[in-house]
Amino acid sequence: MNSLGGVCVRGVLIVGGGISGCTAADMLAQSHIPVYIVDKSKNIGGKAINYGCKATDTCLKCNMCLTQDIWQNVNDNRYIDIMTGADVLSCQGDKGDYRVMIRLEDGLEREINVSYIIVAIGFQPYDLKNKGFFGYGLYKNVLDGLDVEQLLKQRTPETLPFINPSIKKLAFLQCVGSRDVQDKAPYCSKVCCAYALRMGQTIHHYYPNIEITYFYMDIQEVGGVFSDYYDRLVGNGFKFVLSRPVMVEEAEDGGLEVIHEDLAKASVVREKFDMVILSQGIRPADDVDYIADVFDLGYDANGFLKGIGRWSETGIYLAGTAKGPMNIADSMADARRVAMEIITDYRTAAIASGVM
Amino acid sequence: MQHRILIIGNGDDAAMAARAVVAVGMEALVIGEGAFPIADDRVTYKDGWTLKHIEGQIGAFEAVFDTSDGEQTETVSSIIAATGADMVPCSLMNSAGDKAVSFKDLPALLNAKEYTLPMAVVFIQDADVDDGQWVSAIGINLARQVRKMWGCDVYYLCRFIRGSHFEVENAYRMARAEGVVFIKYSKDSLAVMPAEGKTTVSFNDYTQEISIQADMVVMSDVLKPQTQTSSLTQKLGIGINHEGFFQYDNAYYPFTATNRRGVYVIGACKGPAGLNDVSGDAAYTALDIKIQLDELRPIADVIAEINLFKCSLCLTCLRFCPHGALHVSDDMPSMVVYDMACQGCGICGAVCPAEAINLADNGKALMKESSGQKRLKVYCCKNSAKKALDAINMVAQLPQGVELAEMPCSGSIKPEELVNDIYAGFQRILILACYSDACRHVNGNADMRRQMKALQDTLADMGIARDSIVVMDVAGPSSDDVLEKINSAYNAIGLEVAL
Amino acid sequence: MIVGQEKPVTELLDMIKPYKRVLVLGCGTCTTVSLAGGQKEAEFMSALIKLNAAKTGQDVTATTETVKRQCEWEFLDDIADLIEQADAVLSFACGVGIQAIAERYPDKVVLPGVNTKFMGMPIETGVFQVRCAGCGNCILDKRGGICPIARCSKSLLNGPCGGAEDGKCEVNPEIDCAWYLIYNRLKAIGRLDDMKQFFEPKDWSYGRDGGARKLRKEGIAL
Ligand SMILES: Cc1cc2nc3c(=O)[nH]c(=O)nc-3n(C[C@H](O)[C@H](O)[C@H](O)COP(=O)(O)OP(=O)(O)OC[C@H]3O[C@@H](n4cnc5c(N)ncnc54)[C@H](O)[C@@H]3O)c2cc1C
Ligand code: SF4
Ligand code: SF4
Ligand code: SF4
Ligand code: SF4
Ligand code: SF4
Ligand code: SF4
Repeated sequence: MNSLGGVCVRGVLIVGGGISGCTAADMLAQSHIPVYIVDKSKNIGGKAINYGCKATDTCLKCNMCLTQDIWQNVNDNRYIDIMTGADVLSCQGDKGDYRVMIRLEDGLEREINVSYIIVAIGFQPYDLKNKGFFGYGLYKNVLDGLDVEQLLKQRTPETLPFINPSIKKLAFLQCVGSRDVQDKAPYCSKVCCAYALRMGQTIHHYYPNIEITYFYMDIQEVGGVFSDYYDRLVGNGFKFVLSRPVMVEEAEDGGLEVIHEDLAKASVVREKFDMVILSQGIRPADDVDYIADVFDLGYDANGFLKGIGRWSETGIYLAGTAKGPMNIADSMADARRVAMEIITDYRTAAIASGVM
Repeated sequence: MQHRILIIGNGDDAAMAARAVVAVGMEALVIGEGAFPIADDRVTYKDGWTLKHIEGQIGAFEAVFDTSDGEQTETVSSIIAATGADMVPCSLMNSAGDKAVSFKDLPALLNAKEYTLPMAVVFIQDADVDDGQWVSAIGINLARQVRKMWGCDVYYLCRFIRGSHFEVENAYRMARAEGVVFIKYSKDSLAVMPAEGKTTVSFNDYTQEISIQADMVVMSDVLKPQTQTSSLTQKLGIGINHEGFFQYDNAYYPFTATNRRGVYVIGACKGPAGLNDVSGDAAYTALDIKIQLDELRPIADVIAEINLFKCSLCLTCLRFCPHGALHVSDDMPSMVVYDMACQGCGICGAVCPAEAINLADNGKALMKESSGQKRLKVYCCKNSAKKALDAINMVAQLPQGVELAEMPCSGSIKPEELVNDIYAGFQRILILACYSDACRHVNGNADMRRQMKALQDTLADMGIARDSIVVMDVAGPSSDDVLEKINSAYNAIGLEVAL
Repeated sequence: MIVGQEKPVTELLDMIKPYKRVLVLGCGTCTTVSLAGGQKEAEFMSALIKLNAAKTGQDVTATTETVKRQCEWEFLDDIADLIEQADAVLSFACGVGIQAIAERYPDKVVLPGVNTKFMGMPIETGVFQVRCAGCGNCILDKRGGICPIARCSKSLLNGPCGGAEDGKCEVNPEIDCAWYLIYNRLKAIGRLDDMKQFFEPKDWSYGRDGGARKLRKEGIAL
């Protein structure tokens, strides 16, 4: 327990320490509200902490700069108690007084008593095993978005670690595992156009001779008006092919062939590339069912978490991609909004009890 | 204390802002031209008031207005600009003849009692520019309505469907099921021309040239910044982007908060991207304001201090401060700092000709003692290079003779200090700053670059190699990159050709 | 304000060559405000002097100080010690301040750090422009508040030369034609008739001639 304006308060439990959970934690801690973060991974940070900067000679606004303060503030903060490698086991009680049982990394159990809970278990990247025909895991030059994000983190002044001189033609396949009714993802993942277009520009900045092609259905929001952006990319020599590829195969000489329908020729064609990047989408977190069960939550049409009843009544909030696809900036804004609602609640309670 | 928030604008965005402000228990003072939809005793609407200028800082802005009764001054705790944008017909409307209507005008037609039923209606999206997120949401719904009410052929032409909101993606799927025909056309292939009582729409759909005879053409409107945008940004001391909408093109301003603490922008006045979730943004903004006002604290640990005996009131710092944190004192012949607005960037200190400004920790945070030999001094911006260094405990990996200094912003570096560094024996100075558009203090990195360029020129005149001072861009997530840049700057010492 | 410009560093280093102890003296008023000779510039110059000395193996010391106004003896008297100790004073004031030092310290070498440019104002951050020529008999009442002497390239008193193009001066297309500005301004304030006011060639006895000018403030002057 800790004090807020003199009142002893129970804290807030945050399940999931990705950028959403950590942003909420940082904000609550700044208001001196005790926070517990439970994350089942070895480290907090979720996906985004491993993403790289995509700047060319100018920033491409990938939002990673926004996260830097958060990681720093959350570590070594006396208001934040971080439990990694830990799982929530059960949750009992009501708004203002929840008792949550946690299994810690060492197998021991710990019960914490909190007023509010924020569920920020994030998302799962689309599992490319479901699309074996794109050759992910089979061919070494087929990468997914997450691979590239993490490799970008190791960029050096002269080189990108995933590109070698043999790579002259590179393709991005958009909407992999998104906007696909058969694949139970009838929604757009929102982030993959933006990240793929940024990655393309970063690659172009280092290796202007690599020819980059996007196979797309639609291009989503990238910030302001897309036309200027698009013209610039086409000016870079980027190709945009309106087509949804059906398969990636290894060519006889070891390169890759993207098999897709050429609309103008009205036929299926094979186009050779040296590297293929699959812009994988955002899926509900892997143990979404388990968490829904523990905290008594519902689902939206796409299987992401949804609250039952109004947050302010249950005291259990959702933040970030646990609720559906969003980018880092939106996840942070969402998490801040949740944290602010909770802070307001605490203050109202403190005023009501006459201490503030 | 009852907080009152100034909302600029009287359209839908402003109404959402006003509702959100009231919902968290604050009052709204709204200014605009014409009617305002909200009648609520916590909302005061002033028709015809225009903002002249503001002074002060979060918690107590003095806003001066031009009104029909002369100048009025009001104190407000915070300010939200929600002036919206102008919806103008796209340029093809001119050539399209009288069969063309805009998205904006179609609902009136749909509601009209009498009309001749058209046979074919063509919707066109993205004719001038690739419109923002909102356009497909509006267009698809209109197309579905037309299909349902008039039962005619409906074609929907676009460059891209903006379906990143699930509802839009859903509506898109339903529309197709209901028989709306969606066609994507290639850039610059579109033409719309009146022909024998109809309108011919021709385009290339990536396979062939197509033309459709339409009885009616419905075209998306284009969002343009309002004429007052640029003067309002100046009055408010906030940024404008290259398209002429509110907010700097900057990594640190994706939200509604601006470079000036307590001043926010929401909705269409931020451009197409601002339209995505206006009510969410309004709620967020109102809460953000309330949380800050309830317990107003400085934003930075260390803020600028001005020596009022040294200040010559040259106004240079005022012109450079990216956060509107300086003003001329009312009762002393000196510039003074707004303590709640200053973000401790130190840019003011680097430009003050009187050396009147002090920032307690600027450049003092030495992270490594040089061991005897002084070779490379590295200035690390704390928003990028310093974060990258910390992430991998880089200090231990650096070669001998490297000294690190931390800066709150590269814009706080003073040329004279670098000359002193060279005098002290450093063979090279490396400044690790943020990429352009990623400066937490808007343009501190650009300000620094200009100063460094002038310094390099001066040093070159003295026969000192230009690359004694090297500036490089880095970002927090790129630790390897930072380490490499330090190493390469270090290894290149002694290799440069003396001038 | 008086607008100045720092002299090129090589010129200054050359100028101070004969001297071992140099006092770099900033002026806290006009040249500070015109970003040419305040404490910042003085410190910068001192640092460069030291650096240059180290580089060339000379034994030079540079001290830095700034006074409120170098053109007042009282302020100079405050730093009499520093001036005494120096072999030369490198002044970052305008020409007035430099001469004030020379007069107050008759046996001291005083060197100009700044080229005194004009009386003007900042028109944008870091950009200054002339506004007044100090002619000694102001005619701004008849010229719409815009000085043709200072701002017309030919200092024409009675109308434009006719060479302006699109409002820009024929001598330098980067500056506005003063007469274009005067006309528009007079029109805006409804005093176009003032254009007709003819001025005889200027009587420079109020201005540049007649030896060093001098002014007595009656009522104040003793
Ligand atoms: C390939 C790719 C590239 C992207 N690039 C960008 C980009 O450039 N810019 C951008 O803005 N966005 C980008 N995004 C989106 C970005 O990844 C998300 O917006 C962001 O990571 C969401 O953060 P989060 O905290 O909501 O979720 P996550 O990052 O998924 O974090 C969730 C956390 O919860 C933990 N957790 C999960 N289940 C449990 C449980 N049961 N118990 C305890 N803890 C649990 C996890 O271990 C994890 O730490 C990208 C996404 C992808 C897929
Ligand atoms: S691209 Fe991303 S990480 Fe790089 S500077 Fe921009 S916001 Fe920061
Ligand atoms: S963001 Fe782009 S790539 Fe991702 S699902 Fe949506 S349309 Fe496809
Ligand atoms: S430190 Fe930065 S924010 Fe503060 S007054 Fe100076 S320039 Fe403004
Ligand atoms: S820059 Fe320095 S001298 Fe000029 S107004 Fe600011 S504090 Fe005063
Ligand atoms: S010496 Fe020159 S620069 Fe200094 S105050 Fe006097 S007139 Fe201004
Ligand atoms: S063009 Fe105008 S400013 Fe230039 S010399 Fe002629 S009258 Fe003077």
